[in-house]
Amino acid sequence: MEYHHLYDALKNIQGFIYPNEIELRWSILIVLYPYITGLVAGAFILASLEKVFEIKEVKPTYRLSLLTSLAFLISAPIPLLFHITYPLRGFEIFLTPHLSSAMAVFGFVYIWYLMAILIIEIWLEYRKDIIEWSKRKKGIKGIIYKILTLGVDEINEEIENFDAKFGKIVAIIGIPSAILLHGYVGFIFGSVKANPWWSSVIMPIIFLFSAMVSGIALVIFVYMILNYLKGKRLEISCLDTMAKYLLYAIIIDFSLEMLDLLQRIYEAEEFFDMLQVLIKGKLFISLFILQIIIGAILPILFLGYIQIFNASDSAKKFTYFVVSLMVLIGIFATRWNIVIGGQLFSKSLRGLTIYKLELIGREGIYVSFGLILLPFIILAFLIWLLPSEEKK
Amino acid sequence: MKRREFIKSLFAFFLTPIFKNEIISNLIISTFKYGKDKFGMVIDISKCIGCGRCVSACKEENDVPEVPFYFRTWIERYLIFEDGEVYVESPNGGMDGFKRLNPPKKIAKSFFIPKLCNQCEEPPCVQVCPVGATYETDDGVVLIDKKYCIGCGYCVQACPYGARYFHPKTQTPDKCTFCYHRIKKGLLPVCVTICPQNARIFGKIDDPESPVYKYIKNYPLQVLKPHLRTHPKVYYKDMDMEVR
Amino acid sequence: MKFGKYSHIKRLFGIYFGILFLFLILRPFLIPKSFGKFGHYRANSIDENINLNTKYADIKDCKECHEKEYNDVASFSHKNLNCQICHGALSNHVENPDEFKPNIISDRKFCLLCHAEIEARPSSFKQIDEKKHFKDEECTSCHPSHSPNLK
Repeated sequence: MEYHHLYDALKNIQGFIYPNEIELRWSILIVLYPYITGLVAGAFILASLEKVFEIKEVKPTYRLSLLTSLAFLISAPIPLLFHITYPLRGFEIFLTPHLSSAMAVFGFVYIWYLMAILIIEIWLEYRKDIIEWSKRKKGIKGIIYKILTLGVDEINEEIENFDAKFGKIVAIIGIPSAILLHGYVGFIFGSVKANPWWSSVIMPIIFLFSAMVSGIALVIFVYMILNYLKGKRLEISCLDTMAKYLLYAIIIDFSLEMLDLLQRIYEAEEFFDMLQVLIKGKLFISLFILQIIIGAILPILFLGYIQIFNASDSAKKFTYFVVSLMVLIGIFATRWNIVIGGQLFSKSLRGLTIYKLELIGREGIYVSFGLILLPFIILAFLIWLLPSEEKK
Repeated sequence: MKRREFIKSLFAFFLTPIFKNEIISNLIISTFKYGKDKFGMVIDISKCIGCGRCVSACKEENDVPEVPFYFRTWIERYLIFEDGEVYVESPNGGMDGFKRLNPPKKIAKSFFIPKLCNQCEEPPCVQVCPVGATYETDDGVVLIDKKYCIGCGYCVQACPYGARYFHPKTQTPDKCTFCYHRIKKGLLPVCVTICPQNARIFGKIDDPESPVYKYIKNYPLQVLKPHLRTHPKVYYKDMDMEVR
Repeated sequence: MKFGKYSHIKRLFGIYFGILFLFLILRPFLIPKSFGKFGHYRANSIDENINLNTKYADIKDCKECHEKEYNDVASFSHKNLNCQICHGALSNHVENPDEFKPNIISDRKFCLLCHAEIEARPSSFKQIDEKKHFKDEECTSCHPSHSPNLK
C-alpha cells in the first residue's frame, strides 16, 4: 500500500480534522463529471432556443449544438467509471436502484435523456439528409447511414412535416429533461446535510445556470473553431445572439452565486470561521480570480460593452472567442470550488485538509486531460458523419 | 356569509391538528421510541483516560490497517485554555496514547472524547447509497455489504461524524459495526471489553436490565450534532459544549 | 411510397421497447438472490458480517484455566482490567493453548500509556510525572503487573 501522499498530507493539515478525513475521495474526476453534464445541458438549451422559441438567428448552430450535446453526453459517464472502484458493478444502479439516493436516479435520467430526447431529436433533424446520403455515399459511411435509416429509405413532404412537429414536441420535453439531467447533480451535493459548504437549497439552481453559461460558451467556442478550420465565414448575427444570451445567463448565474455567498456571510453559522480561512487561503485563486473575476466579472464587462456600445465585427469575434474561453475556465473553477472546496472542510468545523492532484494514476492530471479531449474527439467523429451545416 | 364560513372551516381543517398538544409533544421523538430493541452505547467522558487501548484493540480485531489514516474508533483530546482558545488533536487516533504538551497557556478544562460510528437510527449514509450496499439491521446496527458496494464514496461524504473511511484493501468504505460478529455471539464489542476504565457501556437501549438503559434513565446524556436529526445511538455522559 | 407515415417512428420505438423488454426479462436473473428480503440490501450480507473471526477472547475463558492468576489480579487495583490489554488478543490461545502463546507486555513505555501524567487525564486516576518518577527504572521492579499496589 502506498501511503506516501497521505503521510505528506498529514503534515499539511490546518487545525483539527477527524482522522478519517485525511483522504479526499472525490477527486478531479468528480469535478469533471458535473462540468461535462453541465455542458450537455447548456448546449441543448441553446439548441432549444431555435427549435422551441424560434429564435432564427441561432439556426446556423442548431445542428452543432445538438451534436455537441451528444458528444459530451456520451463522455459524461466515463469519469465516473474511472472513479468508482468496482466499475463492473456499476450496472447495479440499474438493477437495484436505491431510490432515496439522488445518485441512483442518475442512470435512468441519463438513459431517458439520451434515448428519448437527444437521439430522437438529432435523428429527426438529420433524417432527410441521412436517407439521401444512404443512397449516394459508399463505403463505411454508406453502411452507417443505411443502419441509421432503420430501413426506411424514402421520405416525402407529409412525413417531413410530421418529423418537424414531432421534433418540436421532443424539444419541448427536452428542456425539463435537460434541467433534470443537470439539476439532480446539483441536488447530489445540495442535499448532503453533513457538509455545510454543500448543503443548500440554491445548489441545484446554481448548477443549472452555470451549466447554461458553460454550454453556450462551449457552442460559441466550437462554432468559431470549426468554421476557422473549414475556412468558412462566421454568421455574425448568430454569434451576436449567442453572446447576448450568454451575457444574460452569466448575469443571472453570477447573481445567484453571490447571493449564496452573501447569505452565508450574513448568517455566519458555525462553519463560517473555517470558511473564511478556506477562501482567503487555499481557495483564493480558484474562487476570486478564476471563478469570479475571469469567469464572471470580466465576461460581463466585455459582453456588456459590446451590447451597449457595439463594436467592429473583427473586434466582436475576437472578444467572443476570448470570453468563451474565460467562461469555460471560470465554470470549471466553480465546479472545483464546490467539489474540492467542500471536501477540504473538516466536518469537525475546526480545520482544513489538503488535496494533492497527482500527475499520473487513475485520478491524475493526464487522465483528466484525456477525459476533456475525449468529447471533442467524439464531436469530430460526429461532425464527420453528420455535417453540421444548416439544413437547406 | 357563506364564503366566510367556508374559509373558516378550511382553516379549521388544516390548522386544528397543529394546535393539539399531543401532536406537538410527539414531534421530536426520544431515544425510548427510536431505540426499541436496538443496540446502543454510552460513553462516560469523566472516566476516559485517553490510553488508546480501544483504538488499538479495534484495529487488531477488525483488520483495520495500522496506519494513521483509517479508524473505526478514535480518541480526541480537547484542551480549553483560560483565554478561550480551544485546541483539539488526535495523533494517530490516540492509538499510541497522548503526549505531555506543557502548553505556555493555562488550561481551564480538558478531556478525552472517544468517537466511533454513531449507528444512527436515520442514517444519512444509508439514505445516499445508490445501490443498497449499506443498511441498518433490525437490531440497530448499520452494516456494509462489501461484495455489492461499487465504491462511489457517497456514504463517506454523507456521514456527519467522519466515521467512515475507504479501506485500502477491500476498496470499499468501512466503519465501526459495533463488532457485529461478536455481539451476535453474546460477546461485547472489543472497545467495550478492553477499556480499563469501563468508560464504554454497551447493551440494548430499551432493556431495563441493560446498563445502557440505566444510564439513559438516570443521567443527562448528549449526542453529537443532534440538529442533523440522525438519531445517533451513541450517547455521551459529561460531554462538553465545545465537542463537535 | 412503400412506407407509411409513421413507419420510422414505429421502428425506432420498436427497438427501444425491445431493449426495455430485454432488460426487464434479464433483471430478475441478475439481481442477487437474497436481495430485498429484509430491506433494500442483500440479506446474505448480514451473515457475512457475522461470520468473521474474533481475535479477542472473553475474559471468563481466561479464568477457566488460569484461576490462580485471575484471583491474584482480583485482589489488587488492576482487578477491573481485561487480561488482553497486556497479553494481547487471545482467541487463538484459547482455541489452541499450546500452539499460540500469549505476549507479556510489561515495559515502562507500556505502563506509561495509562499512567503518565498528561493533560486531560482525570486527576482521580493514578498518574506519575514520567520525567521524575524513577525515570530509568522498569515499573514492574516495584509494581508487579498483577499486584501493582505498594505494600
